[in-house]
Amino acid sequence: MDINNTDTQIFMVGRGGQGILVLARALSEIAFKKGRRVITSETHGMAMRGGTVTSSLKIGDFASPLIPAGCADILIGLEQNDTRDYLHMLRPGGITIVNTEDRNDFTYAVDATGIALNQGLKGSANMIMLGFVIRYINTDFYDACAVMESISPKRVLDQNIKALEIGFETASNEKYNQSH
Amino acid sequence: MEAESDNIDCKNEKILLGNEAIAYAVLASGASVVTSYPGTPASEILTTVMKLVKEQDLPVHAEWSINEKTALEIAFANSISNKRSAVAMKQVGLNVAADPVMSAAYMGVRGGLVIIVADDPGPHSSQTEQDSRFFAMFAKIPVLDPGSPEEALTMTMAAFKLSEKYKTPVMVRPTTRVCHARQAVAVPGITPEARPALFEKEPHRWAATPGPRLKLHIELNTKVKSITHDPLAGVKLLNGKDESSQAIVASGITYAYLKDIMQNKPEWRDLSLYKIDMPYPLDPESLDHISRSHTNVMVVEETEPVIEYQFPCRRNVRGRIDSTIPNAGELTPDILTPIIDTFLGLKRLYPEIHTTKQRRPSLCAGCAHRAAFYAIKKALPKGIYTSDIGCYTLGLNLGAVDTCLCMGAAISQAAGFFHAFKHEESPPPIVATIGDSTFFHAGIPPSVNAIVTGARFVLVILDNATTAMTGRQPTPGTGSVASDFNHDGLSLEQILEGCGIRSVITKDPYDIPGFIKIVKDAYDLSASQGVVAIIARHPCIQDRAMIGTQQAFTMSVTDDCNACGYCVKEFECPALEMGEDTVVIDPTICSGCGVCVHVCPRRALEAKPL
Repeated sequence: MDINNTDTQIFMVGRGGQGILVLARALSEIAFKKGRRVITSETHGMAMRGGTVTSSLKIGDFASPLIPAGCADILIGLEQNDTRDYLHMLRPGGITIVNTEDRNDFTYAVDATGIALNQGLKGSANMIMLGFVIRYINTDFYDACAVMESISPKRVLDQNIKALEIGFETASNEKYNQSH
Repeated sequence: MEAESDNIDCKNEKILLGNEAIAYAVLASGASVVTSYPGTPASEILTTVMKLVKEQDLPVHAEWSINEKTALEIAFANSISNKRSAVAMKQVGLNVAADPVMSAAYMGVRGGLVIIVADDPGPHSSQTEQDSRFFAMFAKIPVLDPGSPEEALTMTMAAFKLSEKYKTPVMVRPTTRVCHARQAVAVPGITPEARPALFEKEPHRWAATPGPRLKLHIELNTKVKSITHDPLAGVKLLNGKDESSQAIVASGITYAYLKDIMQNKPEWRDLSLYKIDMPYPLDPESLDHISRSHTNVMVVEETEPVIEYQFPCRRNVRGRIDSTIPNAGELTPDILTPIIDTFLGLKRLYPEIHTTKQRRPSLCAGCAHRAAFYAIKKALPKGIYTSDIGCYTLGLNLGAVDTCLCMGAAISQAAGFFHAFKHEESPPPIVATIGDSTFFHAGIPPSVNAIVTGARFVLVILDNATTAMTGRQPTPGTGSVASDFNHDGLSLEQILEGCGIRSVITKDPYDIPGFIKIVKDAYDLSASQGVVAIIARHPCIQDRAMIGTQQAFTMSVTDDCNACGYCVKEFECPALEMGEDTVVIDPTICSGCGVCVHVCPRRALEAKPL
C-alpha cells in the first residue's frame, strides 16, 4: 500500500493509555508532510481511562473524520481482543496489523508489547507499531523520525525513535515481506 | 513553535485539532480576555490559547475560571468594556452559566463576545446529549454550527464580527467530532488588538431593573429579526436543484458526513442538499421556500430538531420530530446511510452494524482514588455513597459510587439523603466524595448549606491536585490558573474550615489501613459535629513530575494466592487479572504503587522496593 497517491482510510483501536492518539497523530503528520489532505478523529475524556479507544485517519479528499463500516483499508490494533470487535470496519481485502503474539486471524501480527518489554521500552509498543506501519505504507524512516521530533515530548523522544526503528526493522524482516 | 511549524508547515497550513483551530481564531480575532472551565470535549481550547499566549508573549488574559458562570461573567465585563472576549465550555457547563447568558442577551455587548459551547452527541463523555443550539434559541442569541476544524476556525472569526455588528453575544457550537477531529487548516496570523478599554455608563442597560428590561427584550427581538436577513443566515444549496422531489437540509458535521457518503453513492446524485451554517435564528421564509419547492424534505442535524422546529409548515418535513431519524444518540455515517436510502426510496444495501462491546473505562493503575474508595467501602460498608463529576465517578466500578447528578451535587445530595433518612430507626452512614477541582467549581455553597442546616455526613475531598479527567488543568488549589498572574494556590483545609466544618483531617489514601480508621472516626465524629471533612491527598498518577518522587515497588503474586478473585473484583485495578490458577499482574500496566498488598485477604500480593 502506498499513501503517496492512494486515498487511504486507516482505523485504529486500542485501550486507553496505550498511545492510540500519538500513533494517529504521527501518521496524519506523515501523510500531510507528503502533501496529502488528512482528517482524523480521536477519543478523549473518560474513555481514555483504560476504556476502548478508537481513532480514524482519512487520507485524501474527505470532508468528515469518521470511517463508515466496511470502508477501512487498514485496521491497526494495539490490543487483539478490541481489534476483533472492529473487524467489520475493514473493506473486503483490507488488512489488519495487530499487536499480538498470536498470528492467527490477522494479516500482520507484531508482538510490540513483548518486544517493548524485552528492550526496556515499556510504554512504547505504539511506536513499534508505528515503525511497522510506516514500512508497510511506503514511508521513509527519516520522514517519520522528523515528525516524531516535532510532536514527541523531549523526555521520551529517544525512546520513541528507538521503538520506531525496531518496528521498522521488524517489518523489513523477510518473514513479513511475504505477500499476504 | 516556529521551528515546529517550519518542519511540517506548507503554505501556512498546519494540522490542528478542532479545538486548537478555535483557539487560533479567538486570538487572531483580537480577543483580550479568554476564559474557560475544563470539560470534554471543550478543554483543549483554553489549553491552546494559554500555550499561544505564552509562546507569542501576547497581552491576553487567559484563565481557567472557577466555574463556567464566573468565566462568562468575566468575559462579559471585558466585552462591555469594548474589548473582544471569548469563553469556552462544554454543554453542561452552559447550564451552570445559564443565568448570565440569559441576562447578557438582553443587555447586549460592545466588544465581540463569543461563547463557545461544545456539545457531545453520543454522549461520549457527558451526563446529557443536550443541544446547545436550543439554548441559543432560548436566550435569543445567534448560533453557528461548524462541521470541521476548518469551519470551526472560520466560523469563530465570523462570530466576532457578527457579535459586534448586532451587539449581541454569539454562540459557536462545535460537537465532539469537530472538537476532536484533526485537519490541515490555514493558520491565521495573530496580531493583538490595541483597542482601549472603554466603559460607557448606561445603568438602564447594564444594571437594568425590571421596567427597562422590557425595553431591552423588545430591542433583542428586533436584533433577532434583523439577524435572520444577515448573509450568514442564508440556506445554501450545495448539490442538486432547488426544485426536485427530495431534499435534505443539514448542518454541522452531519453535512460533512453526507458529502463524503455521496461521493460513493451515485444513486444519491440528484438529491438536493442544503447546508445551514447558522441554525438560529433562521429566516422562516427561506425554510418555507424549501418545503414548498420539494415533495419531501428531511432535516439532518445533531442532536435535537432545532432547524426542523423552525419550518413554518412541517407537513412534508421529516426528521427527529416524526422519528424518521432516531431522537437520541449520535448520527454517524453508519446510522445516516440507511435512513437516507430509505428516504430516497432506495433499497437498503448496507449491512446492519452490530454494536461492538466496548471495554469499560477504569481508574488508572496506581490512582489514589481507588485506594480511597476501597477504604471508604471497608470502613462503612452499609453507607450511601454520593459522588460527583470527574475521573472518580469510575469509583462506581468498585461499588463505592451510588449517585452522580451534576457538578457539586455529591455534597447537596449527601445532605438530602441525611434528611430523607434521619427519622429512620438506623439511618445509613453517608459519605460524599468529590474531586478538588469539582469542589472549587460547585462544592463550596452546598458545604456551607449543609453546615447551617444540620446535615450529618462524611465529606471526602479526593485531592489529586489537578483537574484530571479533562487532561490535568490547574485548579484554584494548585494555583497558576491565569496566563498573566502567579498564585501559589489556596488551602483546601482553610476553605473547608471557612465553610464552618470543625474537623478537617488530611490523609494519603495509599495508607489503606490508616485511611479506613480515619473514615470510621470521621463518621463517629459526625454524630456531634455534623459534617466532618477528610482530604484524601495524593497527586494524580498521570502527573509525570510526581511519578519520579513516589516510592515504586516490583509487585508479585506469591504461592499463597488461591485465585479467590477478591482483589480483581473489590479493588478493580486494571493491572490485576484472573489467570488460570492465580491472579496475574500485567507488568505493562502496573504502576508499582504497592497499595494492593493491603487488599489481598491472604497477603499473597508482595511488594519489593525497586
